[in-house]
Amino acid sequence: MQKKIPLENESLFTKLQNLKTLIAGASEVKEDIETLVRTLNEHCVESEAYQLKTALQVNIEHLREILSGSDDIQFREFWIVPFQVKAAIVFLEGMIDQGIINEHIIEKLTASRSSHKFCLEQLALIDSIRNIILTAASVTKEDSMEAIISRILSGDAALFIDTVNTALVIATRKVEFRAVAEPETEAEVLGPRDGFTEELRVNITLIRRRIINPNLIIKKQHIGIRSKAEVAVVYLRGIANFKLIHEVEKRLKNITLDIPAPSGMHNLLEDKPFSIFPTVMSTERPDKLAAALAEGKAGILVDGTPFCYIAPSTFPDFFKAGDDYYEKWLPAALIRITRYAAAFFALTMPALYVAVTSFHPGLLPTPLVLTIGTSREGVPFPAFVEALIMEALLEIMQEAGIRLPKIIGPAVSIVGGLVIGEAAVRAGLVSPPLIIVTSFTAIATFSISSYRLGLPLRLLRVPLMCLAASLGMFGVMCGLLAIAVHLSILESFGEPYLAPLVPKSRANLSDLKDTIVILPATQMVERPDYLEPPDGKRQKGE
Amino acid sequence: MHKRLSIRLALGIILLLLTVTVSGCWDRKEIENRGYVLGVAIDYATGEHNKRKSEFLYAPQGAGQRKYLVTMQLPKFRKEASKEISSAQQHLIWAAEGESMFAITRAINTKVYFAMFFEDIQIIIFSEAVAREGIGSIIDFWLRDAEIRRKVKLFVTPGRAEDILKTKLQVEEVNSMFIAKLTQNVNKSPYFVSKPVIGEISEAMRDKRSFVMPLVMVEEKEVKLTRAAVFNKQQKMIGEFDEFEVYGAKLLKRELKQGVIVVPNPSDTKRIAVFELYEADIEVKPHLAGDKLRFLVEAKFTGTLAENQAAGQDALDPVFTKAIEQAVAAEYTRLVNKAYIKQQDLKVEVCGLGKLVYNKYPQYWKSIKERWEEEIFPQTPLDIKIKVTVRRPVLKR
Repeated sequence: MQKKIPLENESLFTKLQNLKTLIAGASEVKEDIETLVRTLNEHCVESEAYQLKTALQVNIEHLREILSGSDDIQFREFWIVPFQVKAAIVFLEGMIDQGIINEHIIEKLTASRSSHKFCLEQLALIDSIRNIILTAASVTKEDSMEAIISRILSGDAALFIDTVNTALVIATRKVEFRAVAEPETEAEVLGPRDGFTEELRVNITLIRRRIINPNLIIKKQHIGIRSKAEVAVVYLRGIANFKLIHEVEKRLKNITLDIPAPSGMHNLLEDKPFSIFPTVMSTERPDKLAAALAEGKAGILVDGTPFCYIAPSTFPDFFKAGDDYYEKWLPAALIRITRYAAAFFALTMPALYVAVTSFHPGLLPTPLVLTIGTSREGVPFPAFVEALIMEALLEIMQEAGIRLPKIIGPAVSIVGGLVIGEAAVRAGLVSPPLIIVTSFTAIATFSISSYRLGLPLRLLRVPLMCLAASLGMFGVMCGLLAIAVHLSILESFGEPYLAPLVPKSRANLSDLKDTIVILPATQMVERPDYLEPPDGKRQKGE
Repeated sequence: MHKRLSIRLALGIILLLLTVTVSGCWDRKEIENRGYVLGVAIDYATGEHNKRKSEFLYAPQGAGQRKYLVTMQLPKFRKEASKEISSAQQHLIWAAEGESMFAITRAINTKVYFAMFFEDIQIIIFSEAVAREGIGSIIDFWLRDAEIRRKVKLFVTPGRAEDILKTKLQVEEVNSMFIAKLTQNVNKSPYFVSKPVIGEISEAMRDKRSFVMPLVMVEEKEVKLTRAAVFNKQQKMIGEFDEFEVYGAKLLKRELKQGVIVVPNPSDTKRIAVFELYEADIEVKPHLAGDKLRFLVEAKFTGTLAENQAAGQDALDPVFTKAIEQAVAAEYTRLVNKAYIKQQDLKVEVCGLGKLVYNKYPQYWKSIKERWEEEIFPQTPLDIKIKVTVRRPVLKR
């Protein structure tokens, strides 16, 4: 046995050696394949790598390389007749105004005129084209390829001239956008009928039209790594606190998402992204933004979404509607209180029903106890399960109502409301009082002016119901306390979320004039103090 | 940071789950599974039941006798489909016999799955026999139990108390609720005691005062509230006020708000005239001169001439109006005197006069407190000054 071992060892050793080389070879092959695949994958072109050259043909070659694969890019080559040089104009076909390119660029450049000598005497070639021949409104000189590409992609036309290593970029952007229409998510009775659109320039117009003041500042910047979303921070200089503006700009700069979705921008700006409460309000109404700017807040307009974000947004802001300011103050105040009450009931109604019916029937007047008892007689589920079923039904119906095409909408309401509601009661699966509670909850949810605040309330209903089913009213109170604690530690752009409900000092008490109640406009002399506006007075006099 | 967050989240979820698992939904009971006792009747147990029934009524007790029969009335939860059977009873009745109220309650719980729940009790009725022996020992449980409300109304009935709960009334309503609501009419018809709530009677018992309860009677398909059962300090029923004594006692107690007074018509004594009171201003003042106490009742009543049965009499005639006013004042004086003398005879005082003495002469009250009802009050004279104004003698011409 012992003699055989070295022999076997030797053959084993060679085998092992072979295996090792095989593995090494295989891993080399694998690496090669990986690099090959990577190079194939990395067909992504970096436009910074290219430089503008003097030769027109080279430039066009470069452009073709960068923009290869896209068929909507247009190269139009022609002669600039007065100077006898070749030129090319590059643009994206769907994003430009063809009239400008035809009439103000190509037509002007190709027409021969006698004054060209005078031009060249006075100015360099590029400047004479820009200043004398081109009649377009905005023409800029660009010499970095990256900037030119990004201008082309956002709808401008670039004019490359042979022998010159600078290109002229002419503003020709003309994109199709939805007309200014009535905001669909924020209907109002007395408010203006115009709402923001997806086009940033239109949205800025809507604001400019409302606040005619040189101190209305609109600062544009691009965010996103791969795609550059155009974002404008809007504020009133001398009214908005500079710390707030700095904070807003810092947060926008910190966004490192490669392709940010414009409609979800608020999620990237939140102080506490894990909280279920919204801390950045979005609105479709220019008048709402204008009012917020006048208070000393900042607006964030993003190209591609009809929603404008307001920073900071505190809890009471979500209960405000434009109508509150357009109506008489007393009805407006009552309506606003109703909204708070509706929010409370939307949050607690099913939980209160469960707690009262299964823990504290003594809280109800005797006739009511007997009525509820009679109607629950024979219902096979405990009140909690019953409420849970109806809650699930309500949520499903709400979701169906949103997602369905408008044509099938009535079908949902018939099947959901009449068939299920009526049949469930008839079949004795659900008691009529619970149907009332559920409907009341749904209606209360709809009456909160902000859809986005309705979402956390809907979400918190079920945990509250669980607490009610296990601990009764004590559990409901625990849940409400936990929510209150959470709300009081939340912040929106550094401002406490419950501001100005709890004023910091007596001087800030005047902030309460526009919170749960609302006072006549003549009484609101000061801007909200919690925003620390440099100019706190809103009205002259006193 | 991330790890700490997830640990805190997990801890939070565990805590939330603990509330559910540890408590085990303590005290949770669906609304239709409770036995809402609406009325309680307390009688002496009689031996006349047959043996089987008797066993069903038996409440096991280690000590004590099978002394009381406690009957509880519960509402009947009916499905809407069976609404057409309107002749059916609106209520359910359960009863048990024993000496301990609590043992009786628990004995009933062996017969029905929806355990007795006392927060909605409207009335407790004592039979006169029980009341005459004293309710102090039985009322203890009803005062002690946490579920009993202060507004429970107490009544005494001359017959068997259980009959009041078992009767089928003309209205489609549970008897107990009906009787409890009946007390709302006390101001319109002040012939029975107002506010016979367990809270006030408990106060009287603790202060060692006498107290009253209305009588409830049943006949055919009707119940009636009337008169007053008078209880002395020992919580024993010792007598009754009739309707007029109740009326007078209410005046003395400054509780009278409305009411009707029928007097002989001044212009034709064979016929009657009726005064309806709608504004009463009553003041009772104790006067102490040396050791002699006396009370003065001063009252101003304003009301209308509700009925004038002497046809042809001009109601606007000032002489006639004056005569009416005097006749009504005389009637009020008679009622007050009647109630006052009745109390002196029974050696009880249920109109809160002792409180007035205490408020005005606290030192004196201290010295006579123990002897008030037995010695001082029966000796105290009463002066009555009643002024009646008839306003609006004519409605239409």
